[in-house]
Amino acid sequence: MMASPPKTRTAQDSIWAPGYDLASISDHLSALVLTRRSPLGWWLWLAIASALAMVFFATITYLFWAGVGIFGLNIPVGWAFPIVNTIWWIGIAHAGTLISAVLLLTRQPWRAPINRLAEAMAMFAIVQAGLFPILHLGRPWFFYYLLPYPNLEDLWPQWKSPLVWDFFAIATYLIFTLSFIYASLLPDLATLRDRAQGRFGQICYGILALGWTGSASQWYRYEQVYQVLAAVAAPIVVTVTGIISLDLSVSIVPGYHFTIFPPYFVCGALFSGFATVIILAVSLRSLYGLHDLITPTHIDYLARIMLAFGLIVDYAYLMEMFSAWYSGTPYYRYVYIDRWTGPYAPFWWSMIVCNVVLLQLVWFRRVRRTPWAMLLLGIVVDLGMWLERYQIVLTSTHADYMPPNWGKVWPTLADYGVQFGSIGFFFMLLLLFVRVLPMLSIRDMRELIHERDTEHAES
Amino acid sequence: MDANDLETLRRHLQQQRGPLFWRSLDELARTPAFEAYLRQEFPSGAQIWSQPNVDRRTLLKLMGASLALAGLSGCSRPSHEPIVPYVEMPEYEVPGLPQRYASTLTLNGYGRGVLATCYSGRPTKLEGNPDHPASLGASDVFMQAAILQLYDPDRSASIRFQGRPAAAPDLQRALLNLRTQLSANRGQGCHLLTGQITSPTELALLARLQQRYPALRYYCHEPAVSPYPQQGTELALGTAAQMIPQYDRAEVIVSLDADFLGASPAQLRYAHDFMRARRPRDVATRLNRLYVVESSPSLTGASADHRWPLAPAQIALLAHALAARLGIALPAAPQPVLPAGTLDVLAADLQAHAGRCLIVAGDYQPPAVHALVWAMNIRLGNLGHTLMAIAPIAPAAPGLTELMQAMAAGEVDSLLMLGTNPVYSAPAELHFAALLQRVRLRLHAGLYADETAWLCDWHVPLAHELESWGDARAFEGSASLRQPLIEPLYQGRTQLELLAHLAGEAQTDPRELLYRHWQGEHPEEFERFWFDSLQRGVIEGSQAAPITVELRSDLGSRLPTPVSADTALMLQLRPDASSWDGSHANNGWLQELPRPLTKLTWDNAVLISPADAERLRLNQGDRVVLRRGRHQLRAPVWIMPGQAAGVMTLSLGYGRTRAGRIGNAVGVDAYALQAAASPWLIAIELNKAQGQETLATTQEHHSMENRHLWRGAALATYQADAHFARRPEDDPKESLYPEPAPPLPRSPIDPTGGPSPYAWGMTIDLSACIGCNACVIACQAENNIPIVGKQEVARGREMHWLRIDRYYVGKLDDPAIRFQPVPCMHCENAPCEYVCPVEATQHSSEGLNEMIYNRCIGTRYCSQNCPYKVRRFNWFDFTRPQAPLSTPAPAQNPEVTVRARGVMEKCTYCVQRISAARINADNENRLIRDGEVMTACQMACPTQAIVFGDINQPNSAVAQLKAHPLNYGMLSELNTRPRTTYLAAVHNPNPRLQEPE
Repeated sequence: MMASPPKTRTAQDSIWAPGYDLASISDHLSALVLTRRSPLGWWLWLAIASALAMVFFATITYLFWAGVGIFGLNIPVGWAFPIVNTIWWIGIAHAGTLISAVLLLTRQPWRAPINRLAEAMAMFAIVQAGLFPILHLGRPWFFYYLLPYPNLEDLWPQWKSPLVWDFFAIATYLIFTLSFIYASLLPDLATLRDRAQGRFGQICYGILALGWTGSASQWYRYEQVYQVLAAVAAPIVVTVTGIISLDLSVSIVPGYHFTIFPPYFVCGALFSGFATVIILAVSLRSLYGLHDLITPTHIDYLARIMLAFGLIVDYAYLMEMFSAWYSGTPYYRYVYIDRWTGPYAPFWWSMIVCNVVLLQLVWFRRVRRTPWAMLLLGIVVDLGMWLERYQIVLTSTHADYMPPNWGKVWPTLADYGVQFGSIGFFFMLLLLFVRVLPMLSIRDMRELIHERDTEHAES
Repeated sequence: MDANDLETLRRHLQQQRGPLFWRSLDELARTPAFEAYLRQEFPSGAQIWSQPNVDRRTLLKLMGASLALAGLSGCSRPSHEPIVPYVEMPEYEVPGLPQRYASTLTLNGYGRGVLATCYSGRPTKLEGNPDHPASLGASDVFMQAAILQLYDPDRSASIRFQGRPAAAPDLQRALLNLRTQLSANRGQGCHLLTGQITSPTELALLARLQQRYPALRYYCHEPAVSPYPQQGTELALGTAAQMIPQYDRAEVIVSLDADFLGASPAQLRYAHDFMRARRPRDVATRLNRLYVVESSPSLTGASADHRWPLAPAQIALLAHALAARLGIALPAAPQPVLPAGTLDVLAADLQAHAGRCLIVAGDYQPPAVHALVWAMNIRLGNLGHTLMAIAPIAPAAPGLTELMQAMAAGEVDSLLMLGTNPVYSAPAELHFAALLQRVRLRLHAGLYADETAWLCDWHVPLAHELESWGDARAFEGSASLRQPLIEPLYQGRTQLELLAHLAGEAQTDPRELLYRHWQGEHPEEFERFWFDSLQRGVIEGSQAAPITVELRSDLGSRLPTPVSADTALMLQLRPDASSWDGSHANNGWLQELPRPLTKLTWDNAVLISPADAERLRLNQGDRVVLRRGRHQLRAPVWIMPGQAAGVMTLSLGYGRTRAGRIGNAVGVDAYALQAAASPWLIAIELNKAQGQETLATTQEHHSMENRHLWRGAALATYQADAHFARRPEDDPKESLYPEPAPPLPRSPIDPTGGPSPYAWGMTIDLSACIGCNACVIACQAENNIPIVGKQEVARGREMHWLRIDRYYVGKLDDPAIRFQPVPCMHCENAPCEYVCPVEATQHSSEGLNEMIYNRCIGTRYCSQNCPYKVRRFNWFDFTRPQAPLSTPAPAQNPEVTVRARGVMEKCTYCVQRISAARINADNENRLIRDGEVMTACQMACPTQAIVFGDINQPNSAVAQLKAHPLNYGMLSELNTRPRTTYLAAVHNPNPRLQEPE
């Protein structure tokens, strides 16, 4: 899947950061944070994102005030937007972990410039994903009942319930991602500390850098920790979404109860995650003028991985339909008839257009290497994956076993509020992140350049 | 100074120094009207200040008295009866333990016996009185909802004069004046209007009143009562009589639009009797057979073995043709449009069961049909066997039309309207409100300050039936007493009391009036009789005796010739299944109760047949304008499978303007179209209007999608294979995991708390279910289930723990209709339990699937995983007192938790009743006996379709039914092992007619 990268150092879109040496790369990247004024686009996007984030928090305030009834939910559809968004955001987070950890372990040099972005994306996506299960509760102020905390009644959570597994999975993932991104930031923080002009910056970065001096023993330990964390990441990527998919497949609801869900969801997660990385890479590249560091080749590689996972997802669609037919029960078969022809059929067909039909464009090299095209396709894939989760979560119970219970539910203003609000919140966090921390890993870029130069010397 | 004299007002304002606050031009002008208004607003005592010489001593006396008495203003009026404090606890009163009293509620004036459960003197739940012949222990929706009406905060709370609260002495003075006037002119010009009265005490009082004021004229207005059965009886028999069908004795029943299983004062008895002769679970060989022709689907039509939708004119033709076929001499008339040969089969089946069959006509059918029904029944020799004639229970009285004539002629000087709301419920074409203005003295007494109250000088709040003494007779004549269960909450008076006041009786206390009346009836051993009757709730041997009637020999010539068909589009008006004639419009439980057939809530709609809808290009919820002459009404349409083409149905009782917070502006007012001459069927012009109405229905999908949820078959199938309802996939599957333990063998009580000896289970007999909704509302009343309002219902958030699924089977124009009540299945292998992350839903040792509300955090995973979708979620805080539709706290069952926002809830098998029985049994060191625990739904069911009990006890009714071949578990192929199972329905179609399914 991951073709050996071409090592042409002169080509315009080389992954080897031509034109930079160890010093200039550090200068360039730290200047983005320390000295360069934020581009106007940054302010514009931050304003939009913050406004949406305000909508998010206003909606949440109203939610806590009035009750979960403000969302478009009912009996039989007890789960809708909040659960859809949990799965969606967790999926997006996955690509970040995969890029920063799995590509590290497999020693893919092209990960260097997109590594940090992907990690930040993972981090903030998990924050969103972690909020939604709490927003979805009828009594969110009792969310801690999910914790096995000591109490007088000797009550524990029920370990049979996948929601408990979820809770731990998301919590683990959040803690892990936080540690991982911090570990990856450590040498960069020290660089920023050293280069900061102002006292405030020096103190802040200094505290965060934990006294990093760059000594050989520190580097030795650091690499050990980093490799271990990366090794831990791989199983986490597979399990977190796998566990979340068990929420659905452990139940007996037709449309939820499919054994293929864990691998299917993991692939779906990575599919949407790579799409989001592409969106971020293309947009920040253009916002900050990083065309020489994030090149069409990077986009191309990301697109290839996205295509690969997308094809697995398409295969899963096929297998899901096959299982429904092969189960021989009218309930499972009806789920599909309903998805194709029922009130939510437009969602299903849109999903197919996004995730199956338009995805095929990625086969074309021209498309893969055209950043704006990939930006659009990334958005399409994210949309498609959102629709996929929406139709799985929602249509399965809207028409399940007993026809008299069948019911429809449509999103409310509050649903849109948290939907777009959380996207805004995500981008707000990300934009603030790139403002105060290097959006490309200085350490990784230096390593890349070092590797390039050593190879050059050898040859 | 005049308010219109603006010049003067301006000058007046200019003269003032400093800012002047004024409320109205009238005030500024100091008109006499405004001065009077000021005086009226403040109590008459304030007039003392206007007296010329108030000296210092008087002033101080008054001030002192005001101060001393100020503290008393918080107290309510002291009781008329002595109040004994709990120095010694009253006998049988144990705090926390309920007490039960018998009483009587009325519908259309006819009594239905109830047993009220009271906690510390507060009634919280009503059940049917098993001793009362019109309830037999069951209850209908109106009985169940009466509790909510009792505590309705919108009930009228004060006497009003011209719309403003007035004091009781003022009313007394007004009544005294009226009485003086009546005594002077023997009642001339005084007209009295009430609802239908069957109360012996009230009727006796009314007789005394009329005796005393011979010129007083009395009218009766009961909007939902049809005069046609009486007119038809007069036509057929030449005498006044009332037909009492004995459904349990009839083997073949033909209903000509008679909805005897639907809401009526006799519903509970009829449903009970009908199902007694139709119980495949008891007798596998003999079931009665029911043929129904009707224009609009009804509960009776849904239970029919054969049902034909026919337009009203066709029903009359059918009655005519059938009578002719049965040998009654009649002029020739066109044949009804029925499948070929149907009439022959029908006539043959009736003739084969002569003396054991029954033909009944709907109350709203024209008199000729009733006359023919009498003739056919007498001809078939049914009189005295499957039906009897009794003297009418409610005496005949002139109605609204006669009153209006008198009003138009200016004969009405004073009009007293007791317990009736004619301004709303009179046909709009009569212009009652306008005529009412011409009456000098208008007095209204009612439970609510309703439309009529606002157009009257005087309004007197009536006490609720549960607050008052009284009596009533059932549809078949049995008299029963009504005793108050609580002191009147709003100082309401009873109708009895008002009539006694008016009659100038020395004794106006309703209890005394009642006591004396019955003392007059039963002078011997009266005390004993009185207490027995109060305790039993019914007066022994008071049912009406059959009278002998004879058919007129010249009936054929007296009958009008039936016309072949309706020329125009017809509209039927019917009382509503929830709102009835409008008097229950402000009852949230009833408003939110899905109407049995449409499953609509919070609305009425024009029911239209699919064929007509197609012809007129109407969709569900489209607005139409109905026009009859100058009267028109905008209403939404509801496409009703099974509705006869050419006729639409609209229910009365909606579109009220002064019902209260719940009932105002709900639905459309069908009285606006009603014709005084033909109140139940009118020719109508229909035009499509702009827009669509959102109608809140609880069931959107009506087909079973070939799933085997509801199961049933014809009698022949059942006889060939008693186990027809069992399907191979029902059997439990092999599993690698341990199965839930089977019910434990019965063990004596283990004081150390060992395994429980009980295993609770339920069966629901689908043959017996008539879909009447009594169980649904009984569950709501018992379990403090909140109402959520139209918008939330439209979003699919209704809270009923028990729902009745209604399926259509077969053709769109004439489907069979099937009902299936669905409570929680209490699965032994419950899918809801293992998915709850906090173990808020668990299995009890007795097999109940229980909710632990205070542990629930509201993930709703349990509901997602419930294949039956019987769980309900508190999306908002529906129960807090400030919530717009919250049930008043006193109406709530203290034994059941009131659920807060964000928690899941569902059927508990009335666990509070199980616990109460367990405590009793443990105290007596025995096991709970079979039948000792009855769930609320089971108790309400008029046909005993629901049986609950201990399935560990092999002899229990429920265990026996679980072993019955008809027993099956719904969706048991999912291995849920439901504790609630169903007995498949068995129908008895005539083999000579084509199978309806």
